Amino acid sequence: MEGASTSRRSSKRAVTGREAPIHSLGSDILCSVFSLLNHFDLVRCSAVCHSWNKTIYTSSLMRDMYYKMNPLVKKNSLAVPSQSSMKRYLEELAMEQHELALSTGSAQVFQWKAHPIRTTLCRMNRGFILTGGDKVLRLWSAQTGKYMDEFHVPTGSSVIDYDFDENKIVGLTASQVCIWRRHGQRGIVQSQKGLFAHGLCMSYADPEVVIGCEDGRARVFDMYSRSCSRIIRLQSGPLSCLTITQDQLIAGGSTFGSVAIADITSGERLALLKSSFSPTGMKCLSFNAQSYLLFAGSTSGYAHCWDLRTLKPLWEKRVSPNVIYSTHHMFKETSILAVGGLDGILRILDQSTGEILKSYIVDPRGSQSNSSKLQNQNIEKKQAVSLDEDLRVDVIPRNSRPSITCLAVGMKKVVTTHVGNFVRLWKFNQ
Amino acid sequence: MARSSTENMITLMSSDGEEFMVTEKVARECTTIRNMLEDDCVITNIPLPNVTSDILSMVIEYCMEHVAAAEKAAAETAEKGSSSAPAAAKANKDLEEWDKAFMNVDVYTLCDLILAANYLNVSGLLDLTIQTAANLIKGKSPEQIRKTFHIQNDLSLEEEEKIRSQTPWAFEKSE
Repeated sequence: MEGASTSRRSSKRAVTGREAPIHSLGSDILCSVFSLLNHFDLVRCSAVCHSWNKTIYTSSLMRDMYYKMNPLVKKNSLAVPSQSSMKRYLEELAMEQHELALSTGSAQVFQWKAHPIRTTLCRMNRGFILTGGDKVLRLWSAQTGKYMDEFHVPTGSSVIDYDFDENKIVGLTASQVCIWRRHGQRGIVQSQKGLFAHGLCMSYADPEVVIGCEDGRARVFDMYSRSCSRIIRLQSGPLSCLTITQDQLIAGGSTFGSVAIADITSGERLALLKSSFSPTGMKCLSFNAQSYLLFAGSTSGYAHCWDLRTLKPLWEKRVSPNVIYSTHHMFKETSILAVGGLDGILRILDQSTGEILKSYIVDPRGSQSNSSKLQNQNIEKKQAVSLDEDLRVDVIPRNSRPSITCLAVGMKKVVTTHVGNFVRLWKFNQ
Repeated sequence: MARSSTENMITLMSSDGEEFMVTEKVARECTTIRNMLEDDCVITNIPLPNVTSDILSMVIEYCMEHVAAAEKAAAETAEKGSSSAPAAAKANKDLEEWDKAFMNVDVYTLCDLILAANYLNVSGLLDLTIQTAANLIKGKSPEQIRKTFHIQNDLSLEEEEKIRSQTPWAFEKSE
């Protein structure tokens, strides 16, 4: 028998040819290869080169083959793939998996100390986690929890709020905006002092950063000119949380319990959204650019939802007995809303109804947890448990549900920061 | 491998003029050749202008291995009346192992094999090579995929960023 053990020869063809070998396959064969990939790999292939992008998104053969292998489980509205674009269909597949994982799955939890003294905030973006605490921001891998980088606050003051993207981090201290470049030559841009005092929250969309202040006003800061272009009066009380939309609206929540909506360009206030229950302070806001829904969490444990097209409330539910510190969902994902607060329970809500789909804590019985050393970093591995629907929170011991101070949602995962100074990365499986 | 002299031999000729004598049974593994033989049974010499000699020799090697495995299984069945399940499972596993080793090739050879398997219509080899190509893509970042397949990045920074920002959920690996 020849061949099996002999080393395989390589083609004698010169490797210098300009055309990549795989380009010689033609789009039909390429479609066969692509149809064996999952939607994550397929989308990554679409970012490889022009011809692959074109094949993946415009070939009807591709769409038909892929659909046959990967039918959508529940969204019947998309049953006829030829009616919808491939991009949308792949996104539906991914979101369906995400929804299923968070609402029915189990989760492995990675836990580690992110900052020496206090870890209070976290954000997640494209596979990176950025935590804030003490006087530094730290970047971690959202796959493994591995430490990647850190960014110091120049004046030695604390970061109150921040967010980040591929290229930069935009942070807010009490009296300044700081912008860090993530790649290349590291540098910090700072706003001059005195533009505002007592900043409490911020949100940005290039080129503007909007800062919510204690005096109830929002300052619009231009990142290029580094100046404050407008001051918008949103609330009479302190602006506790703020978010901006892709079409130039600001939503600002106050400690007095309302959310003001204003136009960034004109400064005109369009609406004041209120809870129909007793006034409770707004602690956090998140806006869904796909469904146009605005979500809020309040001090009395209520979660709220308004439709920004009609400026009307959609639902309002008391999901927690105590204050909610954080609500978040994946960018443009319209089914799952994660909520966390003082009672330390990670709740997964249905965005369209406010119904609690699942409540999770870390399994207190997992006494001997696995821990792995990643270089000098000690990461504990734990298991999440979901709680029975009718279980009262107060029967769960306080120490097995440390308060959630902040959370962020990514594909099939949630990151939380806790009182007690640690970060948890919840990775969900179906 | 011993062969009965009564078996028909077919000569396959590669694009670079090399001749390969194979049994009809092996040649029939290629659906394209089987169709030719069925159309015209006296044919004994088949030119294959789309396949080079080094690739053709590999295709033949694959076909011979799979024909031999099928013959062995058939012989065992005939001998014992029915094939024993564990023996069949082992034979399958052995063949899978052989396939795996056979696929230890560079991407140039792999792509040539895909083209040859497609042209000669060897469905087993086509499935195997396409699966191998897909496995080379799995779990990789766009940059790693380009490197693997020697693909030149003809997307501008802006274009690539646009693709990534439209489907951020697929780019959650901290590369």
